[in-house]
Amino acid sequence: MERDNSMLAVVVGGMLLALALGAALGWLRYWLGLFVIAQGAVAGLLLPWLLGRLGPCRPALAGHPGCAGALGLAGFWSACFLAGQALGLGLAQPWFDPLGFVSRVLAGRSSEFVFGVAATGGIHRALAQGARDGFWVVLNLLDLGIMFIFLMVTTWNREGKSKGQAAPPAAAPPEAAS
Amino acid sequence: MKMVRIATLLGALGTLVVLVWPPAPAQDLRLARLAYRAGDLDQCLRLARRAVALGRGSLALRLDSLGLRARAALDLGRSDMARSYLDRMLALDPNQARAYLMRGSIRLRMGEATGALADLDRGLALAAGAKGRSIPFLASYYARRGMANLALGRLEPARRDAGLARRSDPRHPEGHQLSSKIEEKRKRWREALIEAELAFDLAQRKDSFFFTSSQGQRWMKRLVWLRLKNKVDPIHPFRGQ
Repeated sequence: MERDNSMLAVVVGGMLLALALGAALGWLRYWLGLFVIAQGAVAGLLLPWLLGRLGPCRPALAGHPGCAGALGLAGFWSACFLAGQALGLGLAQPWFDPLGFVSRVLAGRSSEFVFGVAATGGIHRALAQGARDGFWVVLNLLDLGIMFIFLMVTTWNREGKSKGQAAPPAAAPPEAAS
Repeated sequence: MKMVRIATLLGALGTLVVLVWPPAPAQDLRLARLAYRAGDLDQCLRLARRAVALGRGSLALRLDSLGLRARAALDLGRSDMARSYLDRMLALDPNQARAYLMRGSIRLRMGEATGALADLDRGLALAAGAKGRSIPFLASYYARRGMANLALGRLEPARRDAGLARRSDPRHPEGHQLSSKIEEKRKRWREALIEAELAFDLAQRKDSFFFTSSQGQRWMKRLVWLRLKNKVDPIHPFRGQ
């Protein structure tokens, strides 16, 4: 099947993939907990890769949308990913109530199990605990920030070619004056 | 070849998940109990469900998990879910006194007095015959059975239940509230007011924020109504005494 290489196909394909990936990771996040930064890195790297492999278009072929465009699309896909996460989390709950859960965590009446590796003063230690209110917001922003950066920089290829493709033929050198 | 690679990747991921998060149903259930005690109901539900995920765990563990989930769902205001958990609990073991007592309380709250009475009767009979594990808050279940009797217009059994509740725990507010309602039915307003004042005071002593709960608000409204009925100043009820 011919691939659609338009920018619209990239945007819509990315949106659908972000929703699906978000739902899958949201479901895992409910059962296993949030691996801070790792989740963001995995999502931020997996989404552009999947878009290239499975999506309707190789983003590189659609051309670079410019700095503002890349920023805007990374933000849009991040928002779609968050919506997908809410969906996955809600589906894993005994009854669908992701916003209720988030509001209870923000109010400090509930918590989310988080784990990761923290370094303080050069000493690394494992972190596994329930996070709530402000701490939970900070950890989520950290995770989302990592994903946002990866989405912004790994989706596009400034040269207008994907990794597997041959480079466009170089322009012929001007004839030397005889 | 591509399918082999995909299967290998998925297998490796599955192995990693099992190695990092080894299945530990008993530990999950212990953590769920701790989360319930700490008031973290979402974590309680998650851990209690995880303890029995994929059909793991003994019958006792599954019953404990369902009981915990029912309590957490009830505290989160989902009576329907709590009831379905209790139904599943009773399908697993029809001799669970706690499940009958909890389901009876939920049915009473939902206005199903006949069903509530049947469940509370069965639960209290099982609790009386049970050896070893005693049921806490038995006074409140006697009082609830009395409420169900009262809702069905059976005054004498309700009065008997009020007596049982107060004997079981004289400082339990629900027994006094039931007595107040019985006196109200008999149009003995003074006695009804005295019992209602006592019930509200005991509830407030148990929980300083009782008056902010929906039950506290209902009790307070009724108390003011009884004070007016007795021609007592509702703002300063003890003035001149």
